[in-house]
This record gives sequence, structure tokens and C-alpha cells, in this order.
Amino acid sequence: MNDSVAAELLERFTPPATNVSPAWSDVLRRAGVNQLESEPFELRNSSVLSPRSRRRKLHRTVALVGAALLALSVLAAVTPARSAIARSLGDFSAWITGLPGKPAPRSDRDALNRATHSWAGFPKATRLHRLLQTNVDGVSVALDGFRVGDSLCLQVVARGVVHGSDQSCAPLSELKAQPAPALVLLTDAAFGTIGGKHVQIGPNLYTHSVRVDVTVGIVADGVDHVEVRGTSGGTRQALVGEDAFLAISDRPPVGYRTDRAWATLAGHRVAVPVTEAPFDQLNTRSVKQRQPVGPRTVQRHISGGSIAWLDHRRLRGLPVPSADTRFEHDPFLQRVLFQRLIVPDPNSPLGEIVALELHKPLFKNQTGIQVCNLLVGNAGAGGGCDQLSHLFTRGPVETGEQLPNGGDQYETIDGLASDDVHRVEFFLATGERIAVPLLDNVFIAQVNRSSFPIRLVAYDRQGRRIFVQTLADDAGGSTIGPRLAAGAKWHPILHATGPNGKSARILIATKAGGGICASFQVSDGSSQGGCTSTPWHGPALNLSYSAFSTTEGPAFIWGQVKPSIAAVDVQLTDGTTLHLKPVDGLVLAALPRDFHVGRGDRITGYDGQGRALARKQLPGTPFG
Amino acid sequence: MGKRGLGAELDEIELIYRTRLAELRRVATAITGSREAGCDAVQDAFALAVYRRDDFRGDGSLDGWVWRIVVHRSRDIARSAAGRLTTPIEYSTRALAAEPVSSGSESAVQRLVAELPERQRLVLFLHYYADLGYGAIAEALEVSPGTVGATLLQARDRLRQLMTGVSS
Repeated sequence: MNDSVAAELLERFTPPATNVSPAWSDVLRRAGVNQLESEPFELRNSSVLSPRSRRRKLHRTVALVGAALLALSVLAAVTPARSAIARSLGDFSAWITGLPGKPAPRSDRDALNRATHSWAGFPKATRLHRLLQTNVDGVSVALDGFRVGDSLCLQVVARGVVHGSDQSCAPLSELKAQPAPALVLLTDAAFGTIGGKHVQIGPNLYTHSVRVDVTVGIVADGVDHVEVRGTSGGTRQALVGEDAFLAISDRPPVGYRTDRAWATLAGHRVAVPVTEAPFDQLNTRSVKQRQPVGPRTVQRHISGGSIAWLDHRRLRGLPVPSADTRFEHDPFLQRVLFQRLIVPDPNSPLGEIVALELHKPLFKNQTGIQVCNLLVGNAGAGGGCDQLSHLFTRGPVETGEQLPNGGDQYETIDGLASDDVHRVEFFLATGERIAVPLLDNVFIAQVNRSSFPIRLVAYDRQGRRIFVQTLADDAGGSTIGPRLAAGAKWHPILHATGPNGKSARILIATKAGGGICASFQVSDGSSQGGCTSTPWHGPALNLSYSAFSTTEGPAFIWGQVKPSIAAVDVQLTDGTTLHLKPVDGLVLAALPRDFHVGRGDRITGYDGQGRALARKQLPGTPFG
Repeated sequence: MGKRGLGAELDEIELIYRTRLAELRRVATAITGSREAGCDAVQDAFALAVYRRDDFRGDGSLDGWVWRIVVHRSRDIARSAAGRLTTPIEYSTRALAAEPVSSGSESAVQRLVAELPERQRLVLFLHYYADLGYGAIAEALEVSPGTVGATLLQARDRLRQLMTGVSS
């Protein structure tokens, strides 16, 4: 018998399956591996349980075949990212099935693993592959890729006359739904500066431009050309290879931003969605408006709400690793009474710390306990706290938006849902609907910024809408960004000089449609800002510290106050009291030398007659 | 996937699962005689691989180690579930009448392959369905590469004999 006859016979004995749907989650479940222990969220440094001790022995019998197959089919149906993988021209199979490129140099792999060693959810040895590399203007730029759970990430590393790195991730499921043959992950990552400039953009005077500007993404199999266009005009060819692209602009003009991209597949040039990164902190330039879609009204009104497991301190999710460098010094988690790490999607590297923290109450009617929720992901941890008694007073859902870099193309929406919420859904401006993973009252999802504004809709167990919220892109990119009134000019209204030699100022301009935009600028180059509408709907005292780090405290305090407030006292815990006079509703003051946050500084706002109208304890976030 | 140190990484096992799933399921289906049981065998086998990943010693390839588990699990399921699965795998040992494979019925094809000794069947499945080389098959079946080559020749010869109705 020759080989072809045997092959033909065997072909008929067991024909190939027409549809092969992976079900990796089912594998992990059968293994008794808590899926949070696996790659997405592995508690390598948990002091409570070691990863190995949490494994359970496999207990299965053939008698369970039927049940297992049912579970298998269900899993396959609900995990669209794991549906059949077709290796064909134009899809992202190289990324879906693995990691293109070759292993990155050991030093780079070690650097990544050192940085992420303590991180919950990060594999102990992340595979890092080198995708592309080039040299520009004395700078070696390398593009690397890695995967964490069902997130794919790109990392740009610059070496030479300037050093630095930046990374951005996207959910793998996006690749299945992606109609374009390329996916931009990060735009305009900046490495190094060139001095000698003098360019006024918005409220800011820029004296430096970027030395190397990098935009990166991944491409489908067969894509051989990628072009990007910048706001300064003209297109440039990106370096394409290993199913990725690397576009570099050498010494671009001040304010340069990538605003368009195209990929060429089989001779066809296809536009790829790009959301322009904001340039100044107000993003008053980009105002492309899109209309939100989806339901606008609720079908059942909910007042109040709670999270029973949190109230009763039941052990949901996972313990919070004590040694995770992303949040071990977080000012929000200093006097924790109870905390758990919840991961709504076991295939995602994103989790949320939900904590109860002891909080010194300012007023008698406060409980003294606040609830904190911090999103934990590759870029670190971020979130905030509120009085436990305030939780869900605005509705059964509390939301947050996270965008680590202005050039990130994916924004993370996270939050807490009360026990009244059975499921959460996003209605994207592009017309798609996303079922948002919700577990133990925590929801997290990543959305491409080109899909904003989105409408978050929460449903009760009976399927009735109980909460609707429209969310704009956090960076204002292509959605509902603020816009200045025609002819409006920026002008300074407040100035302060700190004990360390730094100076700061606040500039304002009139916002289109009423209200003001304010820009807070520090001489070290940092700045913050935002816009508010009239009439005033914000908190009475909306003050915040200037940027600070764990080693150096803030130099200034600034913010906006209610129009009826004529004077503000900031009482610092060292006994110092700062007396501030609002100008156009804004305040600014220098803080003492060696000031550090987290001591419970108190703010009091007074009316013209000296009556206390409002009190607040920092930290807070102006224009939040 | 080459040789490596002690223990296997979860993502390496997942990578094998995702990139070789079609072949894995086909081999498991051929062994168990049922597509459903084959799927279940692969899921179980990978669960075992995940559970025992620290036991991987790196003295062979991770692929071979995983294939070995898949084959073992498939054989276990086939033995345990024989008679209850939708497609029976124990066939009559009666020699088939000589007829071209291309014109033979599906049941004849089933019986023809089932006539082979188990090791010969396994070598054929791994060689044709998974496109594994002698070395990889040897790792999966815990035999020498020479044995794989010899078994493959024997299997083809046995198929020829069965198709012509000649008893070995």
C-alpha cells in the first residue's frame, strides 16, 4: 500500500472537523485551576495562599462526558474571541494564535519581568518578542510584543541619545471583530525633546518639541504597507513586518499628532481607525462630534443600593497581594479594613481592588468608612474612594474611565454595580453592543476610543433598564471635547511661587456655550486643566494638589469653587492655614516646603459674610 | 517547541492548545471513535497537562509530553466508554472483502482501520492527522523512533492485507 492510499483511507476514517472552537477556559476549569491563578491574574506573591496550594486535584469521570460537553458548547458559544481560527489572508491569526516575531533580547525580557515580578496577574515569565527595530536620529527604536491573558500588548523601547519605553494593550477579542486589516494601539509616543522652540498653542507656550514620535499597531496577515498622516500634513510610510507596524516621525513640529492611518492589503488601501491623542491638557482643538446611540431612559427607577458581600465582608474574588508595586504605596489604601481583588473576566489582565477604608469623618453624619475601587492593570493602578454612605446615591452604577496614555487607542471603563444590577451593556457610537463582564459587582471593559461616546446601560434581573449613562472619551479625542468660544483668548488670572523655586499660574478662556476653561501650569512643565459649564453643577469645593510623586510632595494647591464661595481656608495638618481668595471661581496657592499629601488636609469655603458653606478633605480632583 | 527546563509554563501549554487544536481533536476523535468524546479527551488531557505542568522535566519536547497525555486520555476514554459512545470502536475482526477504498462504504473503512493493532493505529493517526515526525511520535507513544518507523510500515502492510482479504 502506498502512502496516498493510506492517507485517503484515514481521511475518510476521521474527516477533519469543519469548526474547531477552542475552550481554554474550560481546560482551566477542569484542571481545578482558579482562572485567576492562571496567566491573567496569578497571585505570585500572595501571603495567604501560594499558587500551587490553590490547585485542586482533578476529579472527573467519563460519566460526566455529557455534562462536560454541554459546558464545552456553552463556553464556545460565549467566547467569541476563541471561535474558529482561520489562517487566511487578511485576518490576525498570527496574533490570535500566538506571538509573532522572535524572542526579544534577554536583557529586555528580564527588564519586563523584573518590572512586573510582583504584579498580580502577570505571568512570572512573560514571553517578549521583538517585532521591529530601526534607528532614527541617534535613537534605536524597538517594537516588542507580549500577551497577558487575552490582552495583546505592544512595547516601544527607545535607546541611544534618549531612553524610554511606552506600552499599550488591546483585548484580543477586538481582532475578531476588527473590520480593518490593521489595529492602531498607540499613537505619538514621545521620546526625547529638542529645545529652542517658541510655539504658543492654546494656553501654553511650548519651548521644546519631540525628538522621536512613534505610532505603533498590529496588522493582519498579508498587509505590506501602512501609512500614517500627521496633523502637520503629509503621509509617511511605516515600517511593516512580523504582523506589526512602526511609524516614526523624526523631530515633528510642536503639537504634531497622528490623525489618520491606512493599511494596504492585496493592493487595496483601507483606512484604519485612529483617535488623535490630545496635545494640550484641554484638547480644545479636536471637536469631532459623534452622537451616542442606545436607550436613553430607564424602565425602573432605583434609589440607593448596596453590595452585600462588601457590607458583610465576605471573601469574594481574591486576596489583595501585599507586595504588588502597582498599589502598595497607593494613598487610597493606607488604612484598609477589608479589601478584595475582583477579576470580572478571567481572560483579561484587568482586575479591580474593592476596599473598605477607615476614614476620619469631617462631619457627624459621615460613617467614617469609605469604599475605594482601583482598577489594576498593566499600566498600574488607579481609582478613588467615596463615603460608603454615598455609594450608589447617584444610581446603581459607579463608573470610572482609565486612559494611561493620551495616545492609547483603548480606554478602560470600570466600576461598581449595586446588587440590583444583573448585567451591564455598552452601546457604542459605531452601533455595536458589548456585554460587559460583571462579577461580584465589579465590571471592567476596554473600548476602542473611536467607538465613543458610549452609553452604559444596566439591567435588573427582570431585564429592565435601571441605569443609563453616556460616557465620553476620557481624553476628549474624537468625541465630545470642550471647545472655546469663537475668538476666545487665554489670559492669566492667578500666579503663585513655591518655596522650592517653582512657579505656577492659572489661565482661563471662555468655553463655547458658556462656562470657562482653565489651565493650571507649573514652571516644571506639568499642567492640568479642564472646562466647566454654566450654571455651576460641580461640587462646592473642587480643589486638588499639583502633580506629586511618592518622593516629592506637591508644590501647589489649586481648583475651582462654587460661585457663592468668597473665601477658602486650607488647613494643613502641620497647623498652617492658607487663606485663598477665588478669582473667577478659581483658587491657587503654594504649599509649604516638604509638604506631603495623605494627612487629611481640610478645606472650608465661606460666603461673603464669613459663614462656612462647605467643607472638604483632600485629595480631590478639579474638573473631575 | 524545543527542550526546556523543569516545569512547563501555562502559556506554552495554551499555545500548543490553540495552535494544534484541530489536529489534537482529530487524533483524539480517531482514538475514541467519537467526535464528542475526542473533544472531551483533549479538554481533559490539557487540564491534566495544566495540573501537572510542574512535572514536565524537559527531557523531551513539551509538544511530545502533551501529545502523550492526549493519547493516554483518549485511550482511557475509549476503553471506559466503549459501547456507550455514538460510534463504536470495537469492530468485527472479520477480514474485509477486497474492494477499493474509494468505493468502500464508510463502515467498511471504519472496520478496516479498527482491524489494526492499537499501536499501529496510533502511529497512523499521529503521522497522518497530526503530521508528526518519527521523533515526535516516539515521544508521544514512549517508544523509539525506530519502532515508529517499523510500526508505520507494518500498519501500511496490514492495511494492504486487510483490504485484499489476506490474513497476516
